[in-house]
Amino acid sequence: MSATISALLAGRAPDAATMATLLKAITRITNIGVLALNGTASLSTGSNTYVDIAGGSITWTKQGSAAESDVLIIGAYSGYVSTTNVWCAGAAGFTGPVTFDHYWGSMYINLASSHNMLAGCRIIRATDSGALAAGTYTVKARAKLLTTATLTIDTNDTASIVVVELPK
Amino acid sequence: MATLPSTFGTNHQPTAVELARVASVVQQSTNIAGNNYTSIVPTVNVNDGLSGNTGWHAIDLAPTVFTKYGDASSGSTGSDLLIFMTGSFYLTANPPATLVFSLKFDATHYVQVASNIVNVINVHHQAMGLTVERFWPAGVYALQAYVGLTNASSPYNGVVDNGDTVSWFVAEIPH
Repeated sequence: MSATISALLAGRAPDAATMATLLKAITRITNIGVLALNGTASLSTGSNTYVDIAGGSITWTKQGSAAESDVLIIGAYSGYVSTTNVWCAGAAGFTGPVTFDHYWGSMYINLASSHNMLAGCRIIRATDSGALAAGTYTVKARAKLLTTATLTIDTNDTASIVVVELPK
Repeated sequence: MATLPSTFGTNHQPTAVELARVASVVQQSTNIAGNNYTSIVPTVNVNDGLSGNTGWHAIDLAPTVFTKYGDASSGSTGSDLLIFMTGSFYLTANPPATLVFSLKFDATHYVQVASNIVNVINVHHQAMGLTVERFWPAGVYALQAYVGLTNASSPYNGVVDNGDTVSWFVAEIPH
């Protein structure tokens, strides 16, 4: 973007390539996907691996390559666990040209049967493991637990994922 | 909402000045930075209270460089900053107390974004917030996440441990 912007900010008339770059940036920054679930999910895991938070997914297409654009993810869920002191984590699970669970946050839930909320955000860059190539992805809300327990996201809880393409 | 030329259309060839304005808005609205800190080692222990600019403890040791393009004006050359921040923590003693997460902009300016009053000890809590910062000049900033604690009295005992995550992003909003 910087060369394009510099050319235009200098007051020069744009050529077709410069305008194409500008329009590409607009296309990407307006490329936002939102997954909103009202939960009925019950996740039993102690294997420290991600499992789906049931209830749905979104289809989202990344316009730029891993080098051309980053991806901002914002995630959150609320729920309760079956035992005390369970480390819980959340991720946006991408399935497509690259399949990877992109972590956004974690926290210990210390009380059993007491609702808590986790939230976080992260920018996925070209240098990260699982950097996202251009293409169409299925995006799901995912969670994992470090110790054996059940995480319940019940009908009064929500799980959310926001995906935003960030042009360079 | 950004102020854009209103004369674009089939009968108007955009001028260089008008396109420069569009380019400036695109540059600012695509200007988003952030960070995510997890496996926070060593644990951040907050053993003092906030008083002015003292009592803040760094979450991330290396600042994130962010360039703001718009100026500090309230007019069309200016821009604001949207900040989102979230983090988790627990108290070890002396509740109730308020944990505050902030984003440091310069040597003395800590933008308090998220806080939570905690009434019990040894139970992790989450704080999450959004805010808008106005009137920052254009330029390069070294942004850094901090945590602080307010109590009615000492001792102060807040902890962000290696199972917690502190994350934030900042987005430029063109006028």
